[in-house]
Amino acid sequence: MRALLSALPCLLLTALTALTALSACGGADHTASDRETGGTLIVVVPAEPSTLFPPLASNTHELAVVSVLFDRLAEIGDDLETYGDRGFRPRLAASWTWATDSLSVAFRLDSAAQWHDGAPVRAEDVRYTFAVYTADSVGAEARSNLGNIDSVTVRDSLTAVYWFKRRMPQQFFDAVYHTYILPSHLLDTIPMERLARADVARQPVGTGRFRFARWDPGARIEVIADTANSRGRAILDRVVWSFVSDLGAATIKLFAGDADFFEMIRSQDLPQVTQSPTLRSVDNRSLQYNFLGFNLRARGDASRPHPIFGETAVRRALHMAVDRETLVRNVFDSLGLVALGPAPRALIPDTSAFNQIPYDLAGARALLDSIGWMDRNADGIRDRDGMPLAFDLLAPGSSEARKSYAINLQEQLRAIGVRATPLLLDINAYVTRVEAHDFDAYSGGWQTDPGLQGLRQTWRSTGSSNYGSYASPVFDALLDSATSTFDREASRGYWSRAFQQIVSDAPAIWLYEQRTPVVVHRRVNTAPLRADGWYHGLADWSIAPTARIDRDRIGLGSAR
Amino acid sequence: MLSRLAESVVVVFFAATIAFILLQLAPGDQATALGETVSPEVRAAYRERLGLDQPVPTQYLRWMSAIAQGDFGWSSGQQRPVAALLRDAIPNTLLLMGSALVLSLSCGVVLGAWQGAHANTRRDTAISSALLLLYSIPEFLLALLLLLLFAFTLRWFPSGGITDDLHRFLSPPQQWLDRVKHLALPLLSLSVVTIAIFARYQRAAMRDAMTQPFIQTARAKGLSEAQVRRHARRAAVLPVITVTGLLFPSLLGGAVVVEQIFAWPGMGWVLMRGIGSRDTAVVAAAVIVGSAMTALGALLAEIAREVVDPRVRHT
Repeated sequence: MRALLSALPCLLLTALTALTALSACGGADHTASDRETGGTLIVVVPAEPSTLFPPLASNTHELAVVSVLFDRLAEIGDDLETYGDRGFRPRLAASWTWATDSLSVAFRLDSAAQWHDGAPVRAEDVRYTFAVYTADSVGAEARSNLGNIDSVTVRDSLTAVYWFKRRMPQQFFDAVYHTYILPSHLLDTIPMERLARADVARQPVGTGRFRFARWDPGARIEVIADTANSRGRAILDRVVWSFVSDLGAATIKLFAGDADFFEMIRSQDLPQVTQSPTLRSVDNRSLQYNFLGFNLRARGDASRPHPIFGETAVRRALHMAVDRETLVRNVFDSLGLVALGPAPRALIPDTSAFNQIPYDLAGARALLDSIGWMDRNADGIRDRDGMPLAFDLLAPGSSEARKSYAINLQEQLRAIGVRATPLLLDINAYVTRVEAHDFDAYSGGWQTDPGLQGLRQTWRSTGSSNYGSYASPVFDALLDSATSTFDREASRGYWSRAFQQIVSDAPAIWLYEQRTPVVVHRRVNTAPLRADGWYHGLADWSIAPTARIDRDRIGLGSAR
Repeated sequence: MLSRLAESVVVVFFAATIAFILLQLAPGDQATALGETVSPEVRAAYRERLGLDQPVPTQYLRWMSAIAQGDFGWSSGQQRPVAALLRDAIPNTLLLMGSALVLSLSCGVVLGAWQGAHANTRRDTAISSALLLLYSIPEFLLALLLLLLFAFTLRWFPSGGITDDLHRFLSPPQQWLDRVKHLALPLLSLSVVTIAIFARYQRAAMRDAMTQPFIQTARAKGLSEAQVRRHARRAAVLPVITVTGLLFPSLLGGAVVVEQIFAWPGMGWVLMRGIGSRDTAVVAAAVIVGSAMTALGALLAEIAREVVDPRVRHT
């Protein structure tokens, strides 16, 4: 709301400008002529999507295309608020009505909405979508997020009703965020287990403001503005996702002017972007955080505590020995922030309500001394009961940032007499070992959805991705309370206490949140980039007619 | 001929089996390749769906029996039939490799023949040094240098892909030019080293041929130097044919690197993507196609030798 109020003067000014046909509102704001339809955007991506079937789309490149072709019932607001339905905007659903007991919500579909093949969108599509996303034979990743939804029924051709198992503050988010509505009239004759292999997985028919145009295997995917869309066509004529698997070659394609947008720019290339007359970088918040996770249980025998990390004092001492601010500056310069806990700060309700473990080398040494870890044989490494304070630190070799961190951590920990040995592994080997709990410490990272529900899976004692086996009944209880109470203030309190608990227990050293700027051609006016995916506002991106280049003037016309 | 074909089939079978075993020995599988943020439940369901939770011998037998029936299987990483992937990729690789072979052969043979006929002159020494330098540049480095110079700095050629992203909106002549421009840098990257190889072999063969008795006889009969060289060139072509057969695997290997850098959607690109996602069906199919192409190359070289040299035919 605060952001909305602060933006209000500019919004009013823009509206006035449009009404009077005078150009005014400067900077990044769009003038009326900027909003004229037309233009081509070429996005260079390092990987080709494997599918455009929404339930199976999982990586960024797949989700980017899927999100412009398909719609949700309602779209989350830019502040990514997941409590209740506040901030959600109508999308395929024109409106929704809660039952008095809040155990069901009826979505009234936009009667003008239609599929790209011209068929109208019906409530049956919504019911069918839920059936597909929850089917065993489909294997949708989002299925685990739909556990609180009992069923979806059709009240009439334009009304679909979601029935929940229990009232939860985030039940609306659960219902709308994880599913893109599918065209039942095209799919319901195909057995569920064959859907992934059906033609529609590669030639999707959706309801988005862009429609699918073509997929040249190994080369590109093209979408074009859907001129018949009830919400209005996309402003750009065309978006092409061009596949270049080599990052260096992708960067050259961008600098050579053959592409307009690149999400994975390397930090060493950013200075060149600032010098470029045609490119600019745009800050892109992302919902990820990275950490050094400790294995709290013994390797090979989960019934016993880890001989080093089973003890909270050791973990706290290691945390105190790591200068996280310096690490972030060394590795990312201004493109990183110190992580505050097991969530990106954009999702933490109150970042000032819990304390961090301070960087304190002397304190770290004293703490280790006090629990018996001392350098008895003067080899520079502390030991206790004949065991050196030494461990392996697993990191995926494919990540430059995590490699750098592993090496820097090795140096910082050596200062207090701890030997950390980085093991840089192929990503598959890394995942295999982490999942098997076959590690002492690992360099981990999580990309999260809006809301903090993901903490249940990653840090709750029963969480299947809690690879370090952190188990705190207090943290679990606070997490449960925070996610189940309808009292927002109480929820903030529970969250603060939960974060304090896990930060104090130090099952990990919270290392960094990376800012990942994207690079875009200066002629392209972008909508604000949402932290859960830069592509969500793509239909509102524009190119001013005066700034257009040859490829922007192709129009929607057919190929030769 | 039949026995050679049978040998080729055996070679291809063993190559595919070794590829399958190596992929099984490598850490991780298609499920781990989904990435580190995927939950263990999703991974387990994925394994069950693809049959990755079955014993390895069962997976091998199932896969091999499908191959025997001409079914290369389903690519879990690209969600397409492997046969469709091959259908898209093979023509692109053949275009690149075929062009590279033609360019390398023609340039290498002409250059090498000239050097052989003018051996130990200053020009020969200069060309030999230049070729040695080119021969020692790794293909990936050459490709990146070409990319940097001609695509980024000079902007004479596109940075990658087989056609422009808006190729279908170009006029037919522009489309033809677009294809040539996209082919130029990958072709050059792949050809430079093989030009050097062919030239060096051709030079040595030409030098040998020029010292043969039949050349002395030709000179004694009063033939012009140009006619003498023409005779020598025919004799010197045999080693080049042999080398052509042997170069097939390295051309394929080079194509893997070059296709990656220039986003050329051929077999190398498919193979690398398959390895990255532990896509056994794709990797095995790529190995089968690669080894079949190599075997075919060797076979064609053998036939060419027989055609050119009657002595080989009679032994």
